[in-house]
Amino acid sequence: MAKISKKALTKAFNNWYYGNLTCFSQEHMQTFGYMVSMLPIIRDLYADDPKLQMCSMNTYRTFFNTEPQLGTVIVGITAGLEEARANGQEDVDDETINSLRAGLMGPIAGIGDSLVVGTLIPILLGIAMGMSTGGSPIGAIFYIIVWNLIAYFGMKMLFFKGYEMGGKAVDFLVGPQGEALRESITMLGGIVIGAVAASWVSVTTAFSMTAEGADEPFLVLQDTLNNVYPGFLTAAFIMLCWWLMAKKKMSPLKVMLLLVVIAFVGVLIGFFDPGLNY
Amino acid sequence: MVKMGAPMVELIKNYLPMDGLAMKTLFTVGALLPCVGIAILLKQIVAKALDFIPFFFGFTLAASLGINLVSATIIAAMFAYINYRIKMLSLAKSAPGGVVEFEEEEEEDI
Repeated sequence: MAKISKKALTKAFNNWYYGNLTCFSQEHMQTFGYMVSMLPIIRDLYADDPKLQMCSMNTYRTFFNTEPQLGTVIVGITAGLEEARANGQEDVDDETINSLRAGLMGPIAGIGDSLVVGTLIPILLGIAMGMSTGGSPIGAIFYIIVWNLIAYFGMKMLFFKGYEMGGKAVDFLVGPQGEALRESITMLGGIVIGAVAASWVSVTTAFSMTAEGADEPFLVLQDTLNNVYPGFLTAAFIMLCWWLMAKKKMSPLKVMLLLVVIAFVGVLIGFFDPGLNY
Repeated sequence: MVKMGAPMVELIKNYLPMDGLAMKTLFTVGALLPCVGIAILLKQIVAKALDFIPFFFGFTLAASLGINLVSATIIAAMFAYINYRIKMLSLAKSAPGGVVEFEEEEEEDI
């Protein structure tokens, strides 16, 4: 019965705490942070088999991105799942782990960003700014200390909770009930990702047509589109990117370059106009 | 650039006006790039065309109804919960005699 040593768990947690954004890029985001965090665990579990270590690390190569603080719980859960896999649980495979990760990261990012980034940090900063009125450094020191304390102990608790759950929840997760649960979580993820897309991504057009001699344009494309479906352009561009990557197998980098070209042409013909001024 | 001070900034402002092609393009790209991030997430969730329905459901909640993220998450959790219960009921039906327990229904309680 393989069991992850306390030391490896702590090391994994520290790696995640300090390194969750390791080598962050638009294409991989937190993938490398995740891998660097799983490394001590996998080394510990498969100490005498480098080949198995490699196989296991491969599982965590898929794209991962979530809210780093709350997302700690996902790392904890996969640590528990990895332990179960090392113990020969046949039904815990790459797909189980990755679908769980993919299903959880969306909702956790949505909840985490609004709770931690959108609520906790502004509250703390609000208090800190009040303390710093008149140029006192206490506010800054207060924020640095309190934020790190909350983040460290909160994340540590989440990590170990996740680890315990991961171990216990395995039987539950891999059975037909788990199938139902995973499907439900994926559905939750889909809805939340849709809401995230609509709230944070905003693609608008400045295209309008004015009849000769008229003051008011007779066609403001953005308003027309909003009447059809609010956020139409945003949704259309996301679908375009998805189609290019999923169906045409384009790499994210190429899609980004294509977007630069689209933006350039769009600005040239007056379709896009951020409407900014110095 | 610090040495040159304000005149340098003026110079840059003259050469790169906000309503010029370069800056407009940059800001437009800035607005378009997040689409790639969402699409990468979608790639993991969408296996068949029907999987787009939850995505557009969420999109509509936020874009058309103006519901914020926490509220959208709770609405989504409700649908996920209903889906879970339905699946469990069909499981209980197909396994005669075996009553399936509802141990852990949501990841919300983490």
